[in-house]
Amino acid sequence: MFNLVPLVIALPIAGLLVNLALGKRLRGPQAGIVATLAAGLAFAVAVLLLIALQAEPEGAVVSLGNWITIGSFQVAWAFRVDTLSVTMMLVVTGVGTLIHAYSIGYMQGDARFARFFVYLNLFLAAMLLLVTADNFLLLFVGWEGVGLCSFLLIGFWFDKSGGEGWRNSNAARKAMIANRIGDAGLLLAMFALFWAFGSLNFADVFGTAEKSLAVGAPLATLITLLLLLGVTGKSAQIPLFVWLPDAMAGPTPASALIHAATMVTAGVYLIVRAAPLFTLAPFTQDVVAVVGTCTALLAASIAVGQFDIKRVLAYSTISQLGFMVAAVGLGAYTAGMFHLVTHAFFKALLFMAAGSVIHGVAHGAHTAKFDAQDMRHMGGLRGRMPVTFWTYLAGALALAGLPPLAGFFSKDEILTAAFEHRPVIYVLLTITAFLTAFYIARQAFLVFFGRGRSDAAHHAHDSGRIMLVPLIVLAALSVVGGALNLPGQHTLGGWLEHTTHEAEAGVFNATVAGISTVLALLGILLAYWRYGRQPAGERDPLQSALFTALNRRWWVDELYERLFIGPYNTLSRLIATFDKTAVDGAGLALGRATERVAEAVRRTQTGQLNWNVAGIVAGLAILLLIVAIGRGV
Amino acid sequence: MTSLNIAIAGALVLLGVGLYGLLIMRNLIKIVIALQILGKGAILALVAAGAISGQTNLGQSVAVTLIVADTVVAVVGLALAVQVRRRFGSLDVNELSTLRG
Amino acid sequence: MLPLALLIVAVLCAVQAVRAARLLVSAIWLAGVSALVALLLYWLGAHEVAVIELSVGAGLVTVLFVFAISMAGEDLTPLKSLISRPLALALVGVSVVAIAWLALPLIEQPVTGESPFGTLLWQNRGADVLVQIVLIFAGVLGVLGILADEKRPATPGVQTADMVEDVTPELVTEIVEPEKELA
Repeated sequence: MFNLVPLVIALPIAGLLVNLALGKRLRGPQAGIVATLAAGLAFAVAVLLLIALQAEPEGAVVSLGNWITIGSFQVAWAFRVDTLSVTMMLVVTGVGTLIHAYSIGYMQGDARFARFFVYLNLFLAAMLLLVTADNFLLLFVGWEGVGLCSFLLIGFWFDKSGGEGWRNSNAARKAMIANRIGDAGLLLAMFALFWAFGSLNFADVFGTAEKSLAVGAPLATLITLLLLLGVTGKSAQIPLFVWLPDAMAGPTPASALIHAATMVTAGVYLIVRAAPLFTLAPFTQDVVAVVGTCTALLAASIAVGQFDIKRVLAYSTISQLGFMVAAVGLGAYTAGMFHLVTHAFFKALLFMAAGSVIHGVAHGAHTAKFDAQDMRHMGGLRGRMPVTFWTYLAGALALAGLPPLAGFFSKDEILTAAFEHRPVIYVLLTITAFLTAFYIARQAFLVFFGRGRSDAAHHAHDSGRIMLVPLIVLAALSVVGGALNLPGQHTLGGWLEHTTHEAEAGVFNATVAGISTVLALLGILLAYWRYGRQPAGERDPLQSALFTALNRRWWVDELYERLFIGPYNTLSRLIATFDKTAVDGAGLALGRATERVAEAVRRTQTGQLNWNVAGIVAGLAILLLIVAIGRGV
Repeated sequence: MTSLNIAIAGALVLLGVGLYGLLIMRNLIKIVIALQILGKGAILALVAAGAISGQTNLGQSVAVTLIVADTVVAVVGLALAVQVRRRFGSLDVNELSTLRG
Repeated sequence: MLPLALLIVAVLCAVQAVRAARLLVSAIWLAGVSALVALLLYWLGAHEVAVIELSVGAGLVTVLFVFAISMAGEDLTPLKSLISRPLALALVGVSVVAIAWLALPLIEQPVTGESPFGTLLWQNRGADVLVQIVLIFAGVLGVLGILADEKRPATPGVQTADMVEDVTPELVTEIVEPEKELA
């Protein structure tokens, strides 16, 4: 049964090949149906693997043969089936299938409908390669593949008019560059691994590392820090998080799939996968925890000040990823993975609900220059879009961490782990949890409650069934997702234990749970007091200095602009000047010199026979003289 | 100075005259004549050199080869001259030039 | 001192051949050079070569010259040389002196035994003989070249190069504009 694992990757590839070949000829939603079917079948295979794992929880490695063999260095086309990879597979294909279905409705009528699904399937294939790979190099292939798809999908509407196309492609470039910096870290980590252990195979590397390295060994710290750089790029952590908010330029389903539910969690997955290495490097663990916590807090505070419906969710995603990273940094791998799964449910739900809202509002808009993503133009959509509203509410409350929704349990486990090990981190994460409840409630009140603040909001209507069904399914998962790892039962924990060998099972701490629940309720109340009452959204909040700072995102982008982009551009201009004057100049000078010489020499080419003969005779004379002198005269 | 050396010296002078003719002449047929003078010098030099070095017969056999080659040069050159005259109406080699610098 | 006298006369003939204004005169002076060189060769003991030179060089080539000059016609307009005479003399002088300088030591080369003329010509230098045959063939083609134009008017109906040229523009028209009917 484990031998089915290559199919998980092959099915999306088959889907994309069909769409690639027939995309132009498929009519209406057919391309989307093909892609959704491919994703669904991959999910079915993942379920079969899950069933197989129940009987044999240690899993297996399925090798399709050697990829690279250089001396003793071998890289195989090997796929790892274990509880961790199958968990990721289920999330990726499950949520992926729902988002594929949703996209059929969302992308309807788009000029590049089929291409969108080709990208989505390609993304699925790459992501599944990433999570099933049995060695770092194969993982890196998937890692780069998802990065490529992210780039393609962020810049999907690169040809929009009115400067928007430029913004979209710039956002795509920004994501690409930020990810490349992280990828460099991952590559360097791989070089270091090969240098130290002579292999990139997970089992070999971890086995050798555990045997040969002591806890706190500099080598382990170095490698894990480099891995962390890769994680900060892919999972949008400090300092490389700036690309994710801009990535919202892509179509909303892509945001939901790639920039909320799956790709951005690859970093968390990488840390959990490389847990044996991180365990050897306590210093890196602390760095990871601090980075995650700071990111969580910073992003949550920024989310409070945004007006763009998707931007709020983008910062929320960064913040929640911070939670996961902090969890794995604390060594609470199960908690991190648990939050990864529930977050995939409710954040994909929130994004798709936001997409549904944007869809509805944009359809209601009658003016061309209308920003359908600005929450200030919304309001009162509760009545006009009931299904979207109720599903959104489920996701929002799950994110806010209200019991008994999914987010409550997963977040609570992280908080408990922090409470037990690092009180400072616990305090910061609790503040973040409060902010989380506040900003998501703020969004809910601005969008769905009160009165419509624009003509478009009055004319908005709910989306079609193909978009609403995935919302309902995800809403159900967001509500009951906590059952995966209920306190006291630890289904997921026991399940993942086969892979992570994490001895410590998270315990339920009533104090922690109580405080966070109370704070979440407080946050919602505060949001109601500030935004829920009439007349909402009419006061200009930008007057407050704090709010300006939040709205301007703490000027992080401006800081980076000053610190890195500005100097880089200056350097580029300098080099360009050097290139234009010195390098090009040398080339041109060479050309001109040749021309001059040719001009001079041309006069000797009279084309007259006598002169040719004279040249021959003169040459003969010179040669003879040289020979004569060479003789010693 | 032996008679053989005289022959070598004569060959050199003929060579000089031929080269000079090549440099000076503009008429295609006269250029062929200059080439012929060069050839005579070479034949003479070959035979004389053969005699001097004791390889008389080798020198002579090469000389025969040269005579034939020289004759063919004359034939082809003259044929060329006749055709040039027909095409261009002149035997001046410098007017044939189509390669303008 | 007979050879010296012969040589001096031969050189004088050569100079005259170069200097003569009329092509026909030039050709006759060349015949003189050839005959005198043949005599010199005979005197040097190269009898066979002398005979061949006399018959081919002085005879056949002169006939060819006369033939060609009569066909091409005299070009009496005096053509001023492009290269100044002193420069030409200097170049030639330097070359000849250098050759002489280099050739003189060679004259004292040791003598080695050798085969008879016939053996050398037909066996050791067989390749040369083959090349000569090819050369003679080229010469025949050259003569045909002289005569080629002469024959054309005599055989109407045979396509010659010029006639093909006349047709070409129409062919080009046909290729470039296929719809257009040929007139």
